[in-house]
Amino acid sequence: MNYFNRIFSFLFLATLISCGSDDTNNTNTPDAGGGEVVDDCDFSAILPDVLTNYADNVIKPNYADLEAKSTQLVTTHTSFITDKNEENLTALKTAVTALWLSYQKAAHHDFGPAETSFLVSINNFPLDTVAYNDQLNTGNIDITNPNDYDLGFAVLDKLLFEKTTAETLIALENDNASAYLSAVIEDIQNKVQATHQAWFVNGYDTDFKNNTGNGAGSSFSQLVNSINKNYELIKREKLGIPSGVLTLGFTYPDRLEGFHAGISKELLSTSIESSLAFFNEGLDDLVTTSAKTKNGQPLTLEIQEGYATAIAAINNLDNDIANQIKENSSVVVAAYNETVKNLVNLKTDMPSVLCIAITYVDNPSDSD
Amino acid sequence: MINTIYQELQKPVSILPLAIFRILYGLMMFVGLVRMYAEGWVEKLYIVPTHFFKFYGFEWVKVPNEMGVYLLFLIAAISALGISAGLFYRFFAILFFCTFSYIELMDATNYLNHYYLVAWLALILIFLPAHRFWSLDIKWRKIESASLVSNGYIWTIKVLLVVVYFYAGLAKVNSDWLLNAMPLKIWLPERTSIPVLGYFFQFPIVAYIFSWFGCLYDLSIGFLLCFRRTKWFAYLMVIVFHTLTGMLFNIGMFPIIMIMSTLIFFNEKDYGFLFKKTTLIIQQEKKKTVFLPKIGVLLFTLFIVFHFFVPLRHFLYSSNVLWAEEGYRFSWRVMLVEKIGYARFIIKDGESNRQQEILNQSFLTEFQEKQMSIQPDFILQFAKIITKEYENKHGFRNAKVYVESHVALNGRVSERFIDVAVDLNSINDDFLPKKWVLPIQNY
Repeated sequence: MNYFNRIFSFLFLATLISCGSDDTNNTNTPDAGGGEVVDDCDFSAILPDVLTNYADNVIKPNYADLEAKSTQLVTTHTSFITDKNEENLTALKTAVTALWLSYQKAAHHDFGPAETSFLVSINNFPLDTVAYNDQLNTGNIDITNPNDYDLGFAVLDKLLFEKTTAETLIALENDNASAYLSAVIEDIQNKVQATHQAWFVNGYDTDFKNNTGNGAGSSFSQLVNSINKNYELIKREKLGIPSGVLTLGFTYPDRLEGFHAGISKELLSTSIESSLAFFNEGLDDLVTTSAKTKNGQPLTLEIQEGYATAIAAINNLDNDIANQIKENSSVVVAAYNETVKNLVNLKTDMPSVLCIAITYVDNPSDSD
Repeated sequence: MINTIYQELQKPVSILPLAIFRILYGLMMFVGLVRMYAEGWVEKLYIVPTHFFKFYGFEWVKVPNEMGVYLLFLIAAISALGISAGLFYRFFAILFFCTFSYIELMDATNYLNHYYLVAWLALILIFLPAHRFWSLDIKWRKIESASLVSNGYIWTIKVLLVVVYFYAGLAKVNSDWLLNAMPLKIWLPERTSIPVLGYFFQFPIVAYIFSWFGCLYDLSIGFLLCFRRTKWFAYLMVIVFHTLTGMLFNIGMFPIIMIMSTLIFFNEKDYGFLFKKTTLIIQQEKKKTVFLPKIGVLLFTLFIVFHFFVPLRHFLYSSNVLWAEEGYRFSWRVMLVEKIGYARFIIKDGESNRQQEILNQSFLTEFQEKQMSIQPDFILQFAKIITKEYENKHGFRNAKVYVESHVALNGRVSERFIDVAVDLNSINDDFLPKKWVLPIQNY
């Protein structure tokens, strides 16, 4: 008989005998409270209801509001073009602010049709001032690339809010400026409408509700990924970069969202508060279903408290964040740090206990 | 006994399985490389990134420019064809091993066990007389054809495959896999859209069945393939198992590599039904044999010792191998973990109060960042990468780097991964236990 076969049979038998009793990887002794049973990753009991709730009671009203506000923007803009007076400019600016704030709530569900229509690009910031000035000077308005930072609210912020009312009215007599304004508003309107329509006229809502898996691209994973993506944006773009945490202490207050309009604080507060509200519309129930605890309390509570602390720190900021950053950015940095703490909960704990892999892009590779 | 083993190694057997292996291996490697190019992965993995992670001891491996990267892939692909055709066989086997290994060493981010296997097979092929049958070297270069080879040549490949399966199975003998069906409980429900079978994946019990079946399969299949009586059944299992896992998981070429490679367990007699009796090598009268030289026996022994011990080296560490990953790589630990990490680095100038949090994205691709945040040696390497950058660009001196990092393993809540108080620049990577990696509490 083949000698190798004999050796191998022995090894094989030895393994079978030891299989199950020998735990090769568990070399750590579990701590006192250890050995928590990992649950079944089974959310099927509540997932359909959660998805329906998000589609019908969160995303639908959010986009309806966004579209109403963008229609209002178009209306005020039309009036403004007819008669470029102070009253019409004020109405236009009010409409911009209202839409901008409304968008903060819709930013948590930036997937599906929103991705297809590049809705997120209407809030690209900070503004690429070189491209902005170039278009203003030449009149060659081209805002078709959603990856550019020369469109959306950032342009409206500078065009409408940077100067005094009188100066703005004069500036907007310029054909290039006027054309830029029109193009940006039309672009916003188109993207909002396209997203809203794809969701609730062309039936994406049905697909969304029926897609009850947990794989990449499933509705479940999109909810988890998108709330994360936007939370990171809050952390990085709205707090981190302006406050100098990410730039060797050099502060960039002018990179705040809504810098000229002076509504950075309001946008920021709305953003993080609506993030919590978004979480509380069903993701909270899913996390609760997992029955996982962290720091001795249910993970859901841990996340909600993390939000509460971050929100408190943000609400504690001056209304004029830009000025606060200039004078003493440490309070803003503190708010940033509180915001980051909760990011750990959202980015590692939530997807882990919900059994979802965080994927912003497809893996450019196989796994093994 | 030593003598018996020696005789067994030298026993002349038909070269047919070796030739078949060579042809299939070369073809698969060619297809695999072309596939990487066609998927755009060459660009995404080696041209887009600006910084790369290295294996210990291979920090010298540099990523060439775009042209160079494509050239490496081109040479590797051509060499694979050369191997398959058996033309300038040894030259191309060496060239393939070198280029393929170099590609894999360029960025440790992309480490996969099956690439490691492929590299080992390439290395083995350099020493095997696999071109002495059904090859263009015989036809065009007048290299003498052989009908028999020492059994040891064939056993080299068999041993490696048995090792791969067996240790992959042994790695599955852990409480997460067997008692919690993790991470299959996460992965299977992702595949509910697969026709028919997908329906069952919503039931957690299926994850348990798959986990236990997978573990037993891996532990036993290598041995079952060795025995005459069980190998046909075993091969059927190989096909079923790998086809299934190929459908379920994102594992690329691995299933086909295993299905083709395990053909090595069949000898010429097993192929008999495919050929006319007269064409069988073992039936022919004049037989040329390629014997294993003495040095070959020595190398074979070293090879076995290496592959026996290396996958077991995690026993030298007290940490949980799934968590701290000490001794994790090169050990056939496949499909064992679903990890999510988040690492936030702070760099502090040693000679001023300047400090900054690092935007990981400005150094790494999303895929690299994902891999970095769960692997201690990458975290350490990343600290050095940013230190270099800040010393060069911002005049930092004696910079200190700290990391706030959290990792969640197999459906658990996250735990702190690296000691936040440790200056990563005070540490050099080595094989000693990594005290700065905090132990997992909840396992």
